[in-house]
Amino acid sequence: MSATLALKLAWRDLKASPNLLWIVVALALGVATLAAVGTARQAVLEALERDAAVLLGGDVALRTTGAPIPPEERRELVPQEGARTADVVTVTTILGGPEGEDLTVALKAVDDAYPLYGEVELAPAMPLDRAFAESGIVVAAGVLERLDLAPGDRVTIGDKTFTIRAELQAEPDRSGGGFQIGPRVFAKLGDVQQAGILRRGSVARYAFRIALPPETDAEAYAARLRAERGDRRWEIQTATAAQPAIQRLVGRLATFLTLAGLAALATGGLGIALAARTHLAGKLATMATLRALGGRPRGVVGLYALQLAGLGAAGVALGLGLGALAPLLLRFVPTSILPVTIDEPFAPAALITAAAIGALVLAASIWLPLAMARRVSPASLFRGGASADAPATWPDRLAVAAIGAALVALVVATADDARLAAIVIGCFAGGAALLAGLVVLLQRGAGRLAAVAPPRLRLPLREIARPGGETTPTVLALALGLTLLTVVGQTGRVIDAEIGARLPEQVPSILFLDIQPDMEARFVETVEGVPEARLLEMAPYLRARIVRIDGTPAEDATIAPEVEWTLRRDRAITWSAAPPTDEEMTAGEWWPADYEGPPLVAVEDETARGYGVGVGDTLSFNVLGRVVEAEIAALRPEIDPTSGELIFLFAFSPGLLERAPHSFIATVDVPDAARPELLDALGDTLPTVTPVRIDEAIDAVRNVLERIRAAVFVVTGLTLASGLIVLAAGLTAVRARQRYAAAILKALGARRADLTRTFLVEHAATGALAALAGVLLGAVGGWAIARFALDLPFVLAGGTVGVIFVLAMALTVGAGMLGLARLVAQPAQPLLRAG
Amino acid sequence: MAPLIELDDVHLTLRAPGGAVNVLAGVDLAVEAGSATGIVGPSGSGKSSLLAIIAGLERPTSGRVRVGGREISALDENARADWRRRELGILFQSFHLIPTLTALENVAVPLELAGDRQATPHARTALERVGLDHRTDHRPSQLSGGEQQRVALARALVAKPRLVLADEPTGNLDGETARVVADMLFALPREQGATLLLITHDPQLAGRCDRRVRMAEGRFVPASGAAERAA
Repeated sequence: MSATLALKLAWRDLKASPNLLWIVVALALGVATLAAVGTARQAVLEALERDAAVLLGGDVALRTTGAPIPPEERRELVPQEGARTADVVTVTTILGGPEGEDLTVALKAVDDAYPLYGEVELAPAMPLDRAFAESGIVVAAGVLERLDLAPGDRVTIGDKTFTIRAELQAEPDRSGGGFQIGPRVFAKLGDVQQAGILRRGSVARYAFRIALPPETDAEAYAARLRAERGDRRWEIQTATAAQPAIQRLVGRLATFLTLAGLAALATGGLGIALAARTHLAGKLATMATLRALGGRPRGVVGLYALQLAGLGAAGVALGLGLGALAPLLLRFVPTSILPVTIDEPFAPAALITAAAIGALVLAASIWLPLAMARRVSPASLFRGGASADAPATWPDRLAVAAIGAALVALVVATADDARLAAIVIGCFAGGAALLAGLVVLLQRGAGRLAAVAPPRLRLPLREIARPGGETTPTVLALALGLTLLTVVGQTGRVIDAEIGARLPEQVPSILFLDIQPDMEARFVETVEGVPEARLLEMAPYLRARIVRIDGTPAEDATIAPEVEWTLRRDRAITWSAAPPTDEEMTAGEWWPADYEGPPLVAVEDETARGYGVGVGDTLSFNVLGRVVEAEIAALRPEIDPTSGELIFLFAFSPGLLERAPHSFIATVDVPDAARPELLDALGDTLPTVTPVRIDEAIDAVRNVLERIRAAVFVVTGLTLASGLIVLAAGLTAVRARQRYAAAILKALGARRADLTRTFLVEHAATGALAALAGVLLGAVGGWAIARFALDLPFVLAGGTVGVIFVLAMALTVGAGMLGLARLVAQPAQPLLRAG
Repeated sequence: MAPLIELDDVHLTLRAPGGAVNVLAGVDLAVEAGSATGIVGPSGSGKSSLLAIIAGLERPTSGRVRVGGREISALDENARADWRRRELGILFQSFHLIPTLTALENVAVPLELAGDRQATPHARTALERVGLDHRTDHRPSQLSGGEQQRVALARALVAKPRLVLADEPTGNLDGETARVVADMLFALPREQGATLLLITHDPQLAGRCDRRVRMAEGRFVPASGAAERAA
């Protein structure tokens, strides 16, 4: 058969097969997700690299907590000609409105040199120094909205009154400040110092930023600082390595979304296989005829392979086109999440990978249907028509397995987190195998049941029991989509149960920061002066960085991944003569109340295990520039982050640390009604103490989680959409069969009600199995995530799971019902005459 | 004795894209109970439509159709379905077995539709009568054409109907197979006392009927040559 003839026949046949368009849609959906994720990932990483210095606010930043780097040290740090420096201090504090209302804000105090890179944008537009003139400040829109203020209004911070000059529009180094509670406020460093909130030992974070002259190697400069002054209390960051958290997040998110895209594609693949099988099964007689007329087997099958591949190519191309537009969507992501502006890059590697994955999925999906077509013999025409019932041969199954293996290899090789990708693919394959097993069980069960069921139910039961056909792929696809949806819903419930339901009952309502040692007594007195308020805990507080673990520099020590975060920046430490009440050490013993020897430390059990240390080993801390070595005296039980207690991974014996500048933090439980009274009383006596409302902090966390969940829901929705495409493709196949069966049954005396019951039972059983398997597997997956990934107690999201189950049932039965009335009403005679 | 089938001035007009087509143009027919009647005629003469109307699968545009004293053409759809289930067995040229069911299951379907708990054993007996008790678990695609038509015959007779309609039942079969099926087709309904109405192009098959009528252009025409024999 000539290529032109093959093309002509393939095109002619395609025009008569509109159902094949599902192939285009299914592939386009999956490939678009993969291409979009790949392109967006590259766009974000490129932008991060491009804006690295702007995001960090300099080429190098030295960060400290509680106190700035003293001037004499600074001079040593910046020996180079042409280097510029800037000081930035960030602190959580309270902004008081003109009518006494309070708002927790994230204050950023900057000097005249700020910003070293990038620009601050204000509305109305003006230079920053003009805004700061005469105790001026700049505030984010959130401040204006929540306190109903406008530029020109006066507010207080600490002891000082400020005038709002402008609204903050854009902040170049937005991501540099860590987790932020409350909206941003900008003020001049000198003014903030006068406000009295930056006492030594307060929870302020200081950044000394350096813009090096062009051509200077920032990494080499930072390496030299680390080598020469590694034990200093500051943390050194360079622009190129400044955004590891964002890079890690982007990598993780890209891996997750790629896998979700792959799930969509795998589910879509089932739909493609189903559509191809139905299509080719309907063409068997045509193929046999073409063979009988002299077409070679390869040519005849090639005709249909050409047709399916052409549709696949169209789907892949459409998907790539849509995916390449993804960076446009990133512009709608708020800068609080993604602090860079995105160009529209062309990411050929990402597109090629997406196209290759799409092509492999297509190949895996259409191989078996084409193999079935290849086995059709022209002789079948003489035996009353060709059949598609013969099982696949082993070489064909092996070929599909090989394509699947290539697909997995490609995905794992191109994933940011190969291990995660491999695990998720493994779980996905395991889940699919489990589901396939369930379908076989259902079919056998239906077969057995058909023998004993009431006569009118036997026909639908036999339809389900029928081997092959569309039941397996339809159930698989739907159930996998539902599994993912349930996992997401279930995980959300587990997190909600933790932060939403449990915390407000147990945690204190307000956390107070920056209580200076000389204020301790007055603070306690003031709290006790409000009858409804109850002081829960009060502890001295310092921040320190671990520099050595049992003698080994922290950067060279072998650390378990789950505690790596404890070394990334400085951590809160405390000291106490007595152990926390009701706490039993898991190893060693707390020091005696009158202990006066060399420093001892009690370490949280899990952290110590992660470091590979135990009682008798040593940890060295950099406390405000001085290295303190302490022997581990005891291991404390793992801290439950939801208990509402103050979390200190490290508690020292008293003696040494009291002499360092420090502050106290305290937790107070106060009913909502009495809160203004307490805050007013403290505002009068101790204006520099910062209250942080726990519910606001929880809201901030919940807000971030909500956004992540929304994103995951969107991608899960894609998988479900692919599942629906499969359902639609499956229904097309089911309909052709049902239409014919309905005509015969009518001729045999079946009423419309008989037909409706037959087909409804079939749809309901398929839907029930998919829904049941989906929510069960999803609940198990949700349990596994809660137990192993989040380390949270499992709470069954009965409502969510129930809703998903009912919706899935309604969907499958509803889809089955669509057109059923017409199907059972159709006259039998034309179909029987044509048959 | 009143005839089992009575057709009185039956018309059927079908709408088609090219205009209305008069498929049946005033057909009158009376068929005695227990007889075998053969309808012959060229393709397109309206034979199959006539059969569909007698089976209640199609409604006449006008005229009356009475079978067993009941006016089929006046019944609603459900009543016609119930009537078919009780009174009628039907056989097609293309067999029309349900491809997803085994031979035994196909034969059991009419009884199961009637709610008969003994459907399977009765179906097995029916398959034995057509000599296919060794093929009960095979699907239609695994059976030869002759075997498929014998399964269809078993299915048509399993509910012991008063009337069997057959539309070119041997049209898709070779000579020897056609003869075997035809033997069964004439013998088995007779054993059950059923009336047979048969459409065929095969003069030999038509010749085995008690009575033969000819159709052309949607109505009965006098038989050429051979005299109509009274039942």
